[in-house]
Amino acid sequence: MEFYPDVYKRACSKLNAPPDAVKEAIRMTEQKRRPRKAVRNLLVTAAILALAVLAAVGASAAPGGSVFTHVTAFMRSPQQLPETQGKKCLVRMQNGMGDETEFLAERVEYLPESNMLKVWLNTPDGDIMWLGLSLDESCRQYGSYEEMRRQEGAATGVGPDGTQYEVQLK
Amino acid sequence: MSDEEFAGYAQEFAGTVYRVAFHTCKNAADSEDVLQDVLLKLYQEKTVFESREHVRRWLIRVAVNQSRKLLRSAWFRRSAPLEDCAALLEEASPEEGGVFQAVMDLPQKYRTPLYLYYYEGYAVREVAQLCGLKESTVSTRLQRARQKLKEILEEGS
Repeated sequence: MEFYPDVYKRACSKLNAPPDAVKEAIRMTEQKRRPRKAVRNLLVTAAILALAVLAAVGASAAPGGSVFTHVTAFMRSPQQLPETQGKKCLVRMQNGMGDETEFLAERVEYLPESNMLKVWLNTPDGDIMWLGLSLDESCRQYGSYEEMRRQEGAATGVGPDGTQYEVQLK
Repeated sequence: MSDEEFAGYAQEFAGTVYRVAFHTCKNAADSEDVLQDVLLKLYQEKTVFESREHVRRWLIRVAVNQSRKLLRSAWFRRSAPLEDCAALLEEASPEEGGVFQAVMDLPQKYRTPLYLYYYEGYAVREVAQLCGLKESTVSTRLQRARQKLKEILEEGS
């Protein structure tokens, strides 16, 4: 028996979303409320994000040079990020399309006046540098981290002495 | 996006989102959850969509990501129910049911590209964009999916 695409298409057309599920989603948004499952997921996501930022990561976790910059521009609530004081923290972010990424930072500070996230990182040769990550809407043009990486290629970081580093996005 | 616009998009594209999710999750309950999550993301999205096709692609992309995320979760790995997928089709012929079940018996990585290519009618390049894969990867997966489908369907007959 062969695979006939037309038969497959006919079969797929008979797989439909339950009308109740669609109606429920519409009803909930009209009431400015989320479906129960979605509320649960949002709370879990928020909790994970808060924990990820707050949790001190063990010294054995080396940050290497993996810098995920600009991705923070996708983050929904940067204002909720607390500053960290001398401890490494894991920053995990999700954009509006469900792509996720994470990185280890030496320290994270939110600068409300410029709406920037200042992230301190170790360079591969052991120096400390920081990246200023703008949290504006400019990076929402990218559908995913991969797409952004392809187009941006590298980001510029600044060391404490003002030296600029080019950091390849990985 | 106004409530009316959202309701229109939800009605029009719910089937597409549900089918994308089903091709990853292989069960109705999780596909419904993905559908609701994706519709909610659409409601909250601030992007100004240029066209209905833009909305459709956005929804597919988000559905692919949400489904993958669910698939990666430990909860899903422990609890994913095994369903007779073909039984969920409304008034399908035995031939349609057989082909659909054969597609569902393929490894997960083949199912979504196959669906987007054959049912949604996207080109390989577009499928690659929607799935976050290289074009060559999509081509290979489609080719292998067809081979495997032939084997499955021959065994079945």
